[in-house]
Amino acid sequence: MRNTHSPRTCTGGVISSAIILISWFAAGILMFYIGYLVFRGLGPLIRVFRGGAFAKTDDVLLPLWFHTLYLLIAGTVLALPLGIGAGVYLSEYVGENRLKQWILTAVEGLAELPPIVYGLFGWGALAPYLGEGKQTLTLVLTSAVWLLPQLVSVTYMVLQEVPVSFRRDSMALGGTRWQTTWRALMPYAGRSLAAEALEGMARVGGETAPVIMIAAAWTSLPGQPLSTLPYHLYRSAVESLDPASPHNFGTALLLVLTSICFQGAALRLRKTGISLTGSVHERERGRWY
Amino acid sequence: MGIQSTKEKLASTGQTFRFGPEVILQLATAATLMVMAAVAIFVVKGAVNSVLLVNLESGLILMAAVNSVAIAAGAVVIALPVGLVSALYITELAPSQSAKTFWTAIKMLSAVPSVVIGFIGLVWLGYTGSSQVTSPLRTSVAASLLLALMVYPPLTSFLIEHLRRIPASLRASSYALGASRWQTIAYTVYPAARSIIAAAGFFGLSRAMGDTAIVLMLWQAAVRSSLVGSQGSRLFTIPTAIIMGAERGWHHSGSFLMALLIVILSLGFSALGRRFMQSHWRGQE
Repeated sequence: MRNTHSPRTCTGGVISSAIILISWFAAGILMFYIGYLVFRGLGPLIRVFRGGAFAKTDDVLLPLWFHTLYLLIAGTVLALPLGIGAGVYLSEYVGENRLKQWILTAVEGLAELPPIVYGLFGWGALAPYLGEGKQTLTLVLTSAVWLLPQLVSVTYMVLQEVPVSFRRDSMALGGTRWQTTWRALMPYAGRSLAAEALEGMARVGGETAPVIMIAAAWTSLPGQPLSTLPYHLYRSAVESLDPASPHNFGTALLLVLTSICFQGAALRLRKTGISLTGSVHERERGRWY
Repeated sequence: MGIQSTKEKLASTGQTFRFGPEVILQLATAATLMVMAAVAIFVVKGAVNSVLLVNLESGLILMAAVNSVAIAAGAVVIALPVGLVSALYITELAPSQSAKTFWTAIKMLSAVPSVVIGFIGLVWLGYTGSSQVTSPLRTSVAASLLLALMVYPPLTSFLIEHLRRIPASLRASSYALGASRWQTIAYTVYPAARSIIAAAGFFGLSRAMGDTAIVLMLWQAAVRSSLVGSQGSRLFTIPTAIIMGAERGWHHSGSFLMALLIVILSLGFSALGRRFMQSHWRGQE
């Protein structure tokens, strides 16, 4: 008797292979454009890092890169204590009440706002207030304001995933709330917290909209002190007659590599931590296939 | 009595206030809430002011909103089926090693900034400043395709994370009844994941709508090579309009209203997504 339920039936085989083909095809497209970037951009990028004889325009790349990282880190340093503090307070100190629910909803909503709204905030509120010539400060403050709700919601989420027994045991040993948070919860949740923060930094650092908006706040001044890598790529790709110049490819590749480094660090942190999702997945795989 | 807060302990010993971690955390929370309230008040106030204006170009704002939603919806229509197929492949079919490779690649690529994708779009579509014969429809399809490229990795990783959490017992019972892999996917995993898929679609929509750089770059290139009228094109989305309002002073006053509009739209879509997540049946893990 033919077993029609086996995976080797014609329909099942066709559909399974279609699924496999489509998903590898999609991943292939993504890999293709990254590969294309590497192919076109690696040469200019190597020339930048090796120094020596390279085109004058490529000189800009390295200072730009440092400047981007500097702005990003400054914004993060401003936002990190406030965001994590607020997340810890909301998660560990405040009991359940209506106000807390509202605050959490608002935080989640603000964390998901389109970046252009934060750009508008920097352009319309911070820039006129801080005055001319303070572009760097405006941009740092804008990215801090954008990171803030993300950090609060991430901290809250990560702390909520720690089992209650951690808190109960620490309290039973006579720990205060702060000791519980610092000594019992943070060692457990710290890795995924750091990972989420890195992901947020990658998103904020790679976004163009706030920089364009803030650069537009002072049309009299050149946007040079403000230039970050994404903004530079946007400008030179849109304004030059030939968007496919080697310089642009070098910029794009450097940008992609930087974001991928951040994301890779986040992934690495999360993987070696106590990961619940991964283990469920692996157990399932081991058992049923 | 359960766990006492520091304040309650202090109150019982007669002390009323002591400087400690709790106070610092309270201050941090207050500062955070004030900053966030400032953002919200700023946008809402600006929007209210612009509504009160006499010569508000409401037709243009409406058109920008429709364009935003249309382009984002196009991106999700392209990215969601492909993302679903990839997620099913990883969770149900792939051998462990290639699932891991795929997952890492998807996660890494979800960090690629949208400027880079816009740049690739410019290069591949060959906007070089000289005039190219392209219709506005084709450029908006191109924008949707590029946005789909941007939305696909986060969409897929979201789907994978939630498909993984569908209880193993469901799959076990399906296999125990003699179902094949395909039958398990179609009759067990898919029904259990339906609300997750809808949620992924709405989250993707909200994310694609909030993205600025891709559509802005295409629009600028298209305008510069005079393919389209500057404000009439289908690429004229809300973020583009806001940035042009800041850079060139076009309908400057409408910026805040448009910002409020896109906030409402994108938060509305992600709230819908969250609604679907809540209705998702999780079973017992």
